[in-house]
Amino acid sequence: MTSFIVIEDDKKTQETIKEVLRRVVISKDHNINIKYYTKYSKELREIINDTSHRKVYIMDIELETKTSGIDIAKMIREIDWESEIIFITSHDKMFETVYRSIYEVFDFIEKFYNMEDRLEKDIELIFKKNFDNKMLTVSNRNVDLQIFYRSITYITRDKEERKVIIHTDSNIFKLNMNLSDISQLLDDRFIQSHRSCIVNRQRVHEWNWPKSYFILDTGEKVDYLSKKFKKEVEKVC
Amino acid sequence: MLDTIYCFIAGCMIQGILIYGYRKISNFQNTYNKKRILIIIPFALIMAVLNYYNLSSVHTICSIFFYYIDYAFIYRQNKNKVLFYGTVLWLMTALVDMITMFTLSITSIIELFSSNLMILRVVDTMAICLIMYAIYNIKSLNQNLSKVYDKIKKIKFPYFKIFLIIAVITSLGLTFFAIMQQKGFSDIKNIFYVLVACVSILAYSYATILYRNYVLSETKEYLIKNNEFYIKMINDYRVLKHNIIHQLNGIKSVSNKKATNLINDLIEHYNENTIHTQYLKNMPTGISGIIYEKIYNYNQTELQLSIDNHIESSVFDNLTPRSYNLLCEALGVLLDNSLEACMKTTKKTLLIDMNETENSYSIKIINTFNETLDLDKLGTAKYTTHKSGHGIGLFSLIGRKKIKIKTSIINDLFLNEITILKTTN
Repeated sequence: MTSFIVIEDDKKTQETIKEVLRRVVISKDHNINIKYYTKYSKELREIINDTSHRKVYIMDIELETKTSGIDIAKMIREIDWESEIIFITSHDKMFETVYRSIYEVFDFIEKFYNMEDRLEKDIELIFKKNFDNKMLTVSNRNVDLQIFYRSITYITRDKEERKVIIHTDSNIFKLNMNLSDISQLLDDRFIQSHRSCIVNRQRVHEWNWPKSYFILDTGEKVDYLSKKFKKEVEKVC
Repeated sequence: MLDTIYCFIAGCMIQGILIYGYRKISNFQNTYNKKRILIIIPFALIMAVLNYYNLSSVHTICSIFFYYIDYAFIYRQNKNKVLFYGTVLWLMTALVDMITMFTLSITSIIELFSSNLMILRVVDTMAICLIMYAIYNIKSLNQNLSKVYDKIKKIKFPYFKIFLIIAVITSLGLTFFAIMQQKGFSDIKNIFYVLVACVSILAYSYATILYRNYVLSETKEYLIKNNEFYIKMINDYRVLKHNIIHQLNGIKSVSNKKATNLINDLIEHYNENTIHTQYLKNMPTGISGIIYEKIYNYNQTELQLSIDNHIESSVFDNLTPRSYNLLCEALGVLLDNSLEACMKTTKKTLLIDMNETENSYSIKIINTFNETLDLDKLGTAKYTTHKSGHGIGLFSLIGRKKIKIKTSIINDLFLNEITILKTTN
């Protein structure tokens, strides 16, 4: 089940959002639950705390109450990184850039400029990518680490340092673990391509078995492809 | 055959009394596995066999080694102790043996020995054992020996070892000499002298090597100690300098223009590389002053900064001076790290989110980053992703009682949350 949570204190805008949802969501999928709020409330807090199903939050940044849309987004992201957030706003560009990055906001839609079309496209995109916001969560005594599966490209094992090295789109993390332990924390998009490598198959652009390497969608060439794992890889790819 | 049995009995007796003697003179009071004493049986058998084949010189050497093995095997003490007390025992036994033989030589009993009856040797051994038993029970002797051992133990240089080596070699040499003279091997005597000379030269060479090694290891130890001391001093100075600068920044945030100039001068004294804000007309007060000072240097960059301030009360009034300094220090360190890290990314995004509850203040610093991070080393001493010389900031803050710093990484975001308790009145 997917829930749409609309938080908008302007009745006219709320009506427009209702119309878009009726057109795009309700007509296509019956397993949809939509709730409307005008402000932050105890009931809304309970909905945020319930992470058992996927949600799409559509909310205004500037609510008339003390708690703004940004504050609600902050509360959501404290416990839930799988739900999507869409802001309906007239905020300036600079804040948009910051919050888009920090709170993983799917989109900022301007209230008075083509809002219906943009909202419709966003919802379609969210359904298309199927809420792919699952995360790898690892903790040690120093730090808690959470990374979207989709942003992990591959994971290798460093024999000398005896650590696993998680390669993501922008960073590299070293952890005192072994490959089999970390593979249990991953989903089925990850497959073993080498004795010392697990790769996100959705991120592989080319498998080159004769030369024992694969190329990622980022263009990076990775020399961790072993023929020993060819059958398993070809079975799922 | 009967001689061999007598020799076996004599071997068991002498080993038994020496093992007893070792326990006495070394003041050994621990429990030990008494079954281990049975080791004397195979050794006594070997000695009896050697005696049967008339290999008296081999018999002498073997017996000495067997004694040391007995002590080490039965009492399981450190090798220096075994070596010391073993040698003392051996020398004592040799002395008693010599005195007994001398006493016998001046009496007519020695003539009986010349008949080479083994039973008489057993009787001689028994006599020696009895004398030794009496000697081992002299308390003052044992106490003095343990005092000597304690003094020798304190000598680091292996004089003691060299003394023991020379003592053992000399004793062995004298024993051989006595045996050879007794048996009339006059031709071999010259070869024996050459051998003794060679062994002495070797012992001297070994002693020289031991001495050089000792001097080198002592010098190395001294240098290592000095090095460790200076490293500790440098680290202490770095942490002190680092803390003072951040504490001064905290004071600066609530001080007037004149005080600010004075503080800037002090900061300049401690850190030549800091970019100051003395050109600013007015320094904002409180926490915002520190933030303003830190971000001022990035004014002309593409930094995407957002500050969400939900703190309404006066931070300075609600914290003790120490807590306020600590908060300023933490904020300064984390902002330095965050700004440096986020400027390396394409998004260059930084969010400072300040909140307060009834009891505490919390400041969350969230920044984008693009690094290789060893998560197990993060926050440990000297670990840094920047150039060398960094890495003490976060480390110096972790473990402080009044402040809590929580670090998390969510995708390409680095989150540091500082929580500090308000002063309760």
